[in-house]
Amino acid sequence: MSEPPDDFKPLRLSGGRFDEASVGTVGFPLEAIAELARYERLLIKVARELWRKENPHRTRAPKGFDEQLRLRLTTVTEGCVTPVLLRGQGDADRLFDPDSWMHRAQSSIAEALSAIVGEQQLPSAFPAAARHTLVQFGSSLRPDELCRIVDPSGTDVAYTQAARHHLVGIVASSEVTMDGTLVGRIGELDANRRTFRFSDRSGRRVEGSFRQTGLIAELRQFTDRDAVATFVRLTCRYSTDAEQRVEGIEDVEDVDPIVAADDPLGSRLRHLLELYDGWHDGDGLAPALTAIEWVRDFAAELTSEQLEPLVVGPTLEGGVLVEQQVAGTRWSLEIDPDGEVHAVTVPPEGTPAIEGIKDGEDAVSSLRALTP
Amino acid sequence: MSEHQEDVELEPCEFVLEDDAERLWRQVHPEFVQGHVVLAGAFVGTPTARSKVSTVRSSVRTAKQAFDHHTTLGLTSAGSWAITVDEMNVAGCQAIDDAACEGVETPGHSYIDMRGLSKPARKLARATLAQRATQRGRQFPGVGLTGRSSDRRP
Repeated sequence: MSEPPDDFKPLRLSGGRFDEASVGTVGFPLEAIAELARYERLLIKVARELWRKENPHRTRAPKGFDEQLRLRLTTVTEGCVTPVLLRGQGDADRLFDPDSWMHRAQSSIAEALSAIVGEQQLPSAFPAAARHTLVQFGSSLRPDELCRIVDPSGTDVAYTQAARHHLVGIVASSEVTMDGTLVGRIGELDANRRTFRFSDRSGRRVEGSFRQTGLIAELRQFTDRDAVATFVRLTCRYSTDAEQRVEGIEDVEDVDPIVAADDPLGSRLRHLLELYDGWHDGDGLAPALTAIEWVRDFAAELTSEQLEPLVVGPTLEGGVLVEQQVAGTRWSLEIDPDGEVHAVTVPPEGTPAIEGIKDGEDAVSSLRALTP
Repeated sequence: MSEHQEDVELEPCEFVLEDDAERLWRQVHPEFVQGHVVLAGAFVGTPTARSKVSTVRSSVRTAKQAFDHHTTLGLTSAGSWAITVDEMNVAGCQAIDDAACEGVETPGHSYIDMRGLSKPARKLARATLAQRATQRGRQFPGVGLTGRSSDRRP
């Protein structure tokens, strides 16, 4: 374990009240000292959440974790006002390295605020549970004041009230957590940490975690970094950002396969799962999952000879078409997103016909009727 | 066809095409073509007019010109397929020339009119037109080109 650093200078303050201090009035304006307390609270919160992520089997941080990371103000250097802080000392008989966690938290905070200053979303690695604490930091800064956030390498980013407003907007509008289902692919699984990588239908990749050890085997059987990974439905708790994109998965209750690469018509159905709203030059809804599953179940009832001539495509309204044209005869099965299904048969000559289809068995009968 | 559409009033700038043999070019998005099969979904109109399916008259533009115009607008096409006026009529639709209408900038523009058809009749018409287009095959580009704009020769 490393020794505690002699000093710790994660912030530099300038402008407004801090300039007055630098040009003659010695010290740190007391009314601004709350920001140092907020920084300490943020540092501890982020460190604790990072520790939890790395130790999913532990329900709480080690004894003395917070105390070891508490900061004390020892000096204020001149120039731009730089509070010199010292990490708290305490029980040396500890099972973790407080300096390591302090630097990791410092780095995570600097990275997050750098993204905010760049008007980007918070990095996915930044702990969701620390977002509100991050928002509180800097709340007393005045419009003409600036706080330079320094990372462990010495690189800094200028954080202002204007940048903080961007953060407030992100957190206020995006902190939506919900229970529901997500469809996508599992690309990586870390059984020890109980985390995984997940790509949703749009290909957006997010981090996921889960509590039940019983899910490890189930998730593992669907985990594949390759593009042919099975599409699955996760019943889970997840968060979304301001644009309702999935931000992260907090816990998983269940996982079910939807379409595997080797399923009948699997390749085409997987392609449909990757289509997004606007796929047709800005028009065209993403095919409904219910329609895709309907076709999957129908295809499972067919022989390889029946499957061979079938083609599968989307409809602009979010449905799915399954068609074939053999010896001039067109057979067209259309599954609407609302579950209504029709089959049309168009012979080379003569009158075409349309019939309502109740279920997959009905559709198989309709297709079989084409064969003399 | 068992059902013909009810009479729909045309704009003064529109008229019904009556040369049964005339071909109309339809640009088909790559998602609606697999192998040689054109899917019925290729015969659906725009969000503002799902029952008006755009085409271009062969008497005014070639299949290549129709394709080039479409892709120059930044729209995706796997190529030009053809349907005759007679085939549209048999499918229960009308072929309408609207090139003279305000706001229409595609030379030789026309459309397959499915207005007034019931939902099942529209499904029948689309499958019938897709069958005819598939039977005739792609008219432009020829073999070896996919029709995507990225494959076009300079």
